[in-house]
Amino acid sequence: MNAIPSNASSIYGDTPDAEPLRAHRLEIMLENEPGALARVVGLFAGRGYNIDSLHVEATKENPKISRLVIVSSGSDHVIEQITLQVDRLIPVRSVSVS
Amino acid sequence: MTKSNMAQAMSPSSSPSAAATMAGAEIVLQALVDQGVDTIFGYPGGAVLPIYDAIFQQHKIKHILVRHEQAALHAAEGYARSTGKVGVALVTSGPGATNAITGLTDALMDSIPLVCITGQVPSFLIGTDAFQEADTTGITRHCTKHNYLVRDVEALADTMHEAFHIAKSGRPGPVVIDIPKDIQFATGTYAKPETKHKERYQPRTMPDMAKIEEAVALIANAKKPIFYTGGGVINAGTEAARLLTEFVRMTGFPCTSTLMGLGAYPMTDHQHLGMLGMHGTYEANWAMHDCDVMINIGARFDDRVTGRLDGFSPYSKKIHVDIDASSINKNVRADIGIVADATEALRAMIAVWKRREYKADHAALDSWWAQINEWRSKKCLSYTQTGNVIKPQYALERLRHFIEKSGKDTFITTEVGQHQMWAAQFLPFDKPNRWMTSGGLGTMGYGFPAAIGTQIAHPNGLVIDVAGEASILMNIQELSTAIQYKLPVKIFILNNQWMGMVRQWQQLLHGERYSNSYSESLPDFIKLAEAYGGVGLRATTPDELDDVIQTMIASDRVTIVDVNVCDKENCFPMIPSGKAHHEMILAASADAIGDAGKKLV
Repeated sequence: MNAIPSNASSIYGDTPDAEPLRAHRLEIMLENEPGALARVVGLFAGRGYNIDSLHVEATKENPKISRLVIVSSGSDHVIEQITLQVDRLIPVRSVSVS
Repeated sequence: MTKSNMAQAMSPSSSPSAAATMAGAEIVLQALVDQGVDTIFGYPGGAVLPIYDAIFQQHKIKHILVRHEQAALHAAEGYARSTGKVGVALVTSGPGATNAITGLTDALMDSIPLVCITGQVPSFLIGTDAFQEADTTGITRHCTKHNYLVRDVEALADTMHEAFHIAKSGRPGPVVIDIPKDIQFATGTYAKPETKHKERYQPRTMPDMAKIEEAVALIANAKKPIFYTGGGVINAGTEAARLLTEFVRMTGFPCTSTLMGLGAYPMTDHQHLGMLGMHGTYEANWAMHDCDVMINIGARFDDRVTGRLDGFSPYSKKIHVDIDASSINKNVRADIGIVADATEALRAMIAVWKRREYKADHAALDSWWAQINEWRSKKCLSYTQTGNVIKPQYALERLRHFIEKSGKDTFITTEVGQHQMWAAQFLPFDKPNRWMTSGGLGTMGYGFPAAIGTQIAHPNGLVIDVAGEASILMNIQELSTAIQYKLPVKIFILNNQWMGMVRQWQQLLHGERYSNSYSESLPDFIKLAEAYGGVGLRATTPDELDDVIQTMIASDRVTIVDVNVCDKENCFPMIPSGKAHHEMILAASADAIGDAGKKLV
């Protein structure tokens, strides 16, 4: 009697259908400055992206640049968004996904 | 490092050459001058006193003292939005910085270029929970495009210059520079802006020509096209608005604009369908739904525009031009995504259109316009003004009439709510940079300080804040600022004694349970204006309206007009949340909403 109609459960409409998730490895080259890591991690938290694992260290060639490797699981569409969002951060030099 | 050996003592009166030594506070001021800043908005406090001392001893930068830091940010936004320049705010540490957060977030959501300088406790006290200490860079990391904590006075000049470059380049946004008090006192090297300050951040502005060719071919073959234009065209500058107008007229296509995009294409032109989205026109939303080619220039497929995503414009190929690569494919998949500045993309599109001698399909376009005119004939914005109660739409139509009659260059700001949507529907915006409103964040209290910033930038302009009686109370203290600087800002309150949009949603979606949305214990707005030294006026019946509006426009002081309007009027058309963008509720059918509305919950 009180069953909620499937198409009217929320005034915001249905949640989009889940796309298949897959683990992706993001390699982010980052200027080694205070707060730079927090920007990337905060972006993941703020936009609701997953972090499965994280590793960061200064590159041997140039100690002013850090290599940040994040493994994140998401649909291809979400990973594309993450890449573009991370690339917007000013201290980020490059992002590559594998 | 290398800069220390460039340091040279300069006499204080001489203009600094490539490098000079001076106190951190003076570096801040000199950098502002060299960045072309003439006005800043701020509020002093312990951690910015050295900068205020430097302000006291110079005449190139005018400081506008606001009465609350939030207003400093909104005033800087109004200044930026109405001039195309970077707006600048200066606030102290702790509460100064936290009060600035709403304005920073507002500027981030609406892509407004701002530089906000915040004082910080001295470096050696950071992390000790010192008096008026807040982790400003930590707090503002999520509501700025970029931020800095300056730890070395030698980095201060470069930081200032880079901040301006970041604020105005690419997709504009707010940048915070947090400067500890000891850095403001310390002596350091000043260097003028150089290209090296731009090396780190070089957003793409030129379009991929292959994609432009592809897009223009699609445009030329369209049978039911529409231009969907947003704030990106305004941000790109007046040349972008001119090129948009040229391209729309060249093609003969219909054009609609988002809330942020109003004014880029003249709204009084017959090719403009008015605003689209949740409270957009019937014809704009239906044309978006039925189109076969959508040309999105500088808009971001916001949920207020798309409605239910699975029902959004199902038959169209979508071209999306945006300076921010992450906007493309974020909410809606684009068939052709072009990362570029709107000016460059439009210029390239027009060049290709001309070079290939494309012609629009006139037969198809004629039947498309016939369909659009049929939607237009619904007259979705119609209302009936009868009896002795003023309809808010009528008040705005009279305002429009007298604005046009005055012939003055007019700038409209708004607060947030029903009055904002009615202003977007009923006032004409034929030029860019004349419409300042809080779109993305929806900040009540934005309009009045934004009007102050706009009036500072345009002393001879007619600046009107279209307000609601609830919103205006959120930054009413700025009456004092308007009096101090003799700013003849006009506040046009559509007073329905309700938080109108909240009441509308409660009526339509929450079973008419009006929880806390009544504007209880309102002040007498006439006495309120007079208490500050301004002018207060009131209209309670339709026949009082014309005199009151004319008196307001002629007033040379800050003026509040309390227009007592119908307390039950709803803003239509409306796309209820969870519905597709063609499932609009119109005023004519609104009486039947009672039950239907409740089912939406």
